[in-house]
Amino acid sequence: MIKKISNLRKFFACAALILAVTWLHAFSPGGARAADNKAAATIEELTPSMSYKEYHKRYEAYYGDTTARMAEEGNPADFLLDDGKDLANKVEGSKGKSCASCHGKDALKLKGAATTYPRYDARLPGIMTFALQINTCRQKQMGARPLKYESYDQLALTMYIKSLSNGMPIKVSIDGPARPFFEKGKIAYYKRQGQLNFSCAICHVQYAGYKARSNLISNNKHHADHWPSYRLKWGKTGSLQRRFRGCLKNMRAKRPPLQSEMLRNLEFYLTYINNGDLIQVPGMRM
Amino acid sequence: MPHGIGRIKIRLPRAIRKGQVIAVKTLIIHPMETGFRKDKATKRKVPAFYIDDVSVYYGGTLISRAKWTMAVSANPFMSFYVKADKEAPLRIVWKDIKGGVYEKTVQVKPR
Amino acid sequence: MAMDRGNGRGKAGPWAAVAVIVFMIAALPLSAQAGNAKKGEKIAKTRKLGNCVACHYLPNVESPGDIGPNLVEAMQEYTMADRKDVVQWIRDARKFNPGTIMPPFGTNKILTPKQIDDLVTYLYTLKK
Repeated sequence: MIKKISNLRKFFACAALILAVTWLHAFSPGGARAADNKAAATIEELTPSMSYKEYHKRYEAYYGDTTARMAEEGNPADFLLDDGKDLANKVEGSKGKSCASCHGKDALKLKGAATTYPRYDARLPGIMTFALQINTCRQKQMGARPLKYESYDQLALTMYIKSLSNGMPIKVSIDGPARPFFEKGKIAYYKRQGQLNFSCAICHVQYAGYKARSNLISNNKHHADHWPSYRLKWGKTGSLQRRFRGCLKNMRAKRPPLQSEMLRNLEFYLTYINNGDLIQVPGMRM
Repeated sequence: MPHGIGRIKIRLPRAIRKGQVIAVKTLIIHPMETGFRKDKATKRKVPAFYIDDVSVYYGGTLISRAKWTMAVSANPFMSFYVKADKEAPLRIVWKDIKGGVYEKTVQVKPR
Repeated sequence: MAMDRGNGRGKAGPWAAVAVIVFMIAALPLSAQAGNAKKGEKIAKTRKLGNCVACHYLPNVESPGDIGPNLVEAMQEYTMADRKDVVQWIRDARKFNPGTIMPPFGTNKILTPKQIDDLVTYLYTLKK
């Protein structure tokens, strides 16, 4: 009976949507927007159980400002920043260039470059993350070998160049051809997966602020502004995609490799919903 | 061996008045293996490897000494207070259980 | 003390055996579907098994989670006749609540039917 009613409700919702879409189609200049609405409507967005303010209050009461204070006093990832600066000036590859050859001393011209990443790149075609861009640049412009993801040098270089944008707001665009990839990222964020049948959203949107055993589940605000970040659990620095893979492991789901399409789309979605946050690299988290 | 073991950062306040009590913040890169952790790949225990002795010298005299155990976290951060009553080097020495000695000296210059 | 018990057992031997058999016959309809409560408790509190305490309150556990309802309170509302429903909640809670966060322990083979049985038996011991 209940199922029947919900089916009916779904039917009406669909009917209303189709009407709305055709209406939009009639008045909008292109059909593209209507198609986007249709794709977005396949996902039911979840609503948080508590406001961000309430979540933050709980966080402060439970953890205090420990990690923020630690990051300020002495973040072990600071050493990577120094090494990354050296790497940016180091000549490598067949063309005898370094990052500094094109981007100025210490690659300082790249100030603000990280704010628009990840972004759509027609040459892939797909989402270009910041780490992937650095490696592509190394291969194509410098003729050097790409750095292995999550290796010390790769993290150091990414972190240093990203730190040039510190204090600037994230402004990722999902317009035009980037839109389908944003939708794919959103689906990845909302899709139930793994043996435990979780999705990213159910914990970090709906149940953010509750405790899973002794861990307070974090809200997805400020999830994308501090990577690569030092994490106390790892005892070292890691990237957002490593964190994704860790979460997927906890969900007992399939773990795609680093910089695979799914993880890039996911990073794109997560960064977009955190647009406006100030980049603060390196971060420090539990 | 992890990258950059024994790298040290010591932070002092920018301007120091004579006789002021200053906070010294130190950070050292060290894995601080407890000896209880298992390596997932080899399924063997990782041998203990941690700093057990920290000494602070101010102008040649030992002003503080700490005994650490495996319970201290990786990449340990330590801060302490010193009364800056003379212009002298502040030397901090970390010793680990495998005989590694890591030290760094900074100059305290009160005005 | 140990000797006393030994003697007592020796004397009451035949009667004890009869009592045990009578008890077993009396308890047969129940024990046919009842699992082992002690094993169930271990399943509920072990991370690699049920890990109920990640989300639910259970007694005698250090810092249980608070995502799901308190299981001691929840179990007061179920009688032995509802056992089927309790099993179904654990096997696949989506039947009662399609948007639930609770993992489908039976459907996704996180626990075997036997383990779920033990678990439910343990949960019924929480009833006051």
